[in-house]
Amino acid sequence: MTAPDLPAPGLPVVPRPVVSPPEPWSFPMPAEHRTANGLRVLAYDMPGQYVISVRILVPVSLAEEPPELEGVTAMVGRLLDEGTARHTPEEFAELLERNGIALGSGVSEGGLSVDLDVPKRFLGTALDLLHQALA
Amino acid sequence: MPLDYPIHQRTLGNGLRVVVSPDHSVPNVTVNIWVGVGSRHEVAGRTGFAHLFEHLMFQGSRHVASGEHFEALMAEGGRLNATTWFDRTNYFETVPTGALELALWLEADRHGHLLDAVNQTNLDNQRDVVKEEKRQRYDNQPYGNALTEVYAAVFPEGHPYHHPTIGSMEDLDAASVEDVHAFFRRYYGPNNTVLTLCGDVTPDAGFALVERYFGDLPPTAEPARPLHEPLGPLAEPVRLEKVEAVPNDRLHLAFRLPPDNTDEFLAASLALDVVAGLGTSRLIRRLVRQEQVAHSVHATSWGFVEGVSLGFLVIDIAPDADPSAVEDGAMAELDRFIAEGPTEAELAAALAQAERSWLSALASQEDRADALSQHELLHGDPALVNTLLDRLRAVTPAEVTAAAGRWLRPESRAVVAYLAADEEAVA
Repeated sequence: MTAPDLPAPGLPVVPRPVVSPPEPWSFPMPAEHRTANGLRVLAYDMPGQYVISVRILVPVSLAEEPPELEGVTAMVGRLLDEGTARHTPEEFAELLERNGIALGSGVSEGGLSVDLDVPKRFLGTALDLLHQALA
Repeated sequence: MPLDYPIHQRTLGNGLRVVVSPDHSVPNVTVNIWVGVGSRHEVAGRTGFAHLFEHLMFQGSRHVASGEHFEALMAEGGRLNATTWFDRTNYFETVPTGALELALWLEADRHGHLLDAVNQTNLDNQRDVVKEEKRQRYDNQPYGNALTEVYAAVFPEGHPYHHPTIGSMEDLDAASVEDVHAFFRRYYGPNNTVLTLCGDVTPDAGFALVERYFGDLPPTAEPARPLHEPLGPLAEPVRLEKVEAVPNDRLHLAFRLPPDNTDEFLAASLALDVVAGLGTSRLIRRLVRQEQVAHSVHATSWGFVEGVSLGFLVIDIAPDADPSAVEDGAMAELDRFIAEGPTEAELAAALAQAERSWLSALASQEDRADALSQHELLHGDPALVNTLLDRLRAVTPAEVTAAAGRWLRPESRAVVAYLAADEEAVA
């Protein structure tokens, strides 16, 4: 039995809508800056967001790894959060966590990427720690 | 300070709760629908049904052919899926703005008129799909049924959280077309549903579109049954040991926790983070870094609405380490935490990591839509997404200690231990 407020089969209450084509859109261009020592910085403003994502790309190709040391780039990436000249591994891990930082790394043919996510109020400290890990 | 994600709400005449959160940074919109039915509503003999039903929602409805929901939206560049959990079922898609109306039309057709298309053939077909999913994800995975065993150990027989969403093979076999009809009539309907639009849409346009496509659906869902009585912590330890072909010994140490969206749940989850959920947590320092008797330690807190939640630690035991000694060490750390409470540094770390984790989740338009639906459906207020961090920061060290003392006592644990079988014996 069909309830009185249901339409008869075959007759939608509202006809199937037609999809309108997308308006032109392109990903915003970054602001670009070069530091005095040559580091190229691309910055994307994401209004309304609270987390800053930082990715540093180190152009070391996997093809350049010596055969007897294959995997060394990945090992470097994995060891980045295991302490610095100033901090023991446990101190460094504590500093990352107390400042809301997630630090990771990835290796591909394009190079070693070091990734950091942090709430923006901790960004200054996060960049200092990232500098310590890489320097 | 609260976050300021914009949140606009309206309830249609048929009871559909609509949330619109505009974000025009990218020209697409997420449609996220939460229906107030999950595995906690399943009755004995019909476990796994909410999830099986979710599959049938993709098999056609009054004006939509089987598989067409996926095809039509993917053809527009959309991505979509659905999930079933203890407390709810969730359907979602993200589409270019120009396909928003199509998404709403497709959703309204299946949420209003599914039963026109349900028949024995597509029920049998999806039953087989779900049984294969169970084989792949549970029965043929190392540790694949461990959480199922955790639920059964922590919650009593017949309790809403005693069984997993995947259900049992016997119950899946028993599901009939009549069950599908009864389930849809009882639980599906705008008056048991939340629909969130998040993305490139204004509140006025969003409300008008949802009214256009969903406004005619009758409020068919039946009133919710009363909630199960709240549960306290386990009165005594529960233990299950299994010897299986697994890569290494693994311990699951589980506890009942207070209900979701309570200050005591937040306090208990912070306690679990400090004990085992952070890179610098006590169990990782002791078991992984210092003693090196474990490969890894993880902590999870799952908030549930029906009078009790679930927290558990997972410890992967190192080769040659003695799992019972590792368990003793973990319990000693829990006792010490209950006696001493968190240090200022530990609590600061747990809060900072919770902050990043929550803000990262909300950064994704799809996850933000999901969080808005969740907090409206389960807690009646989507704006909780903007104040969660303030509530977490208001938890005091004394409250964290007290929550641990009530809920995380070693004598209230349920242990599910998977011990690696001797390789020759397995072979």
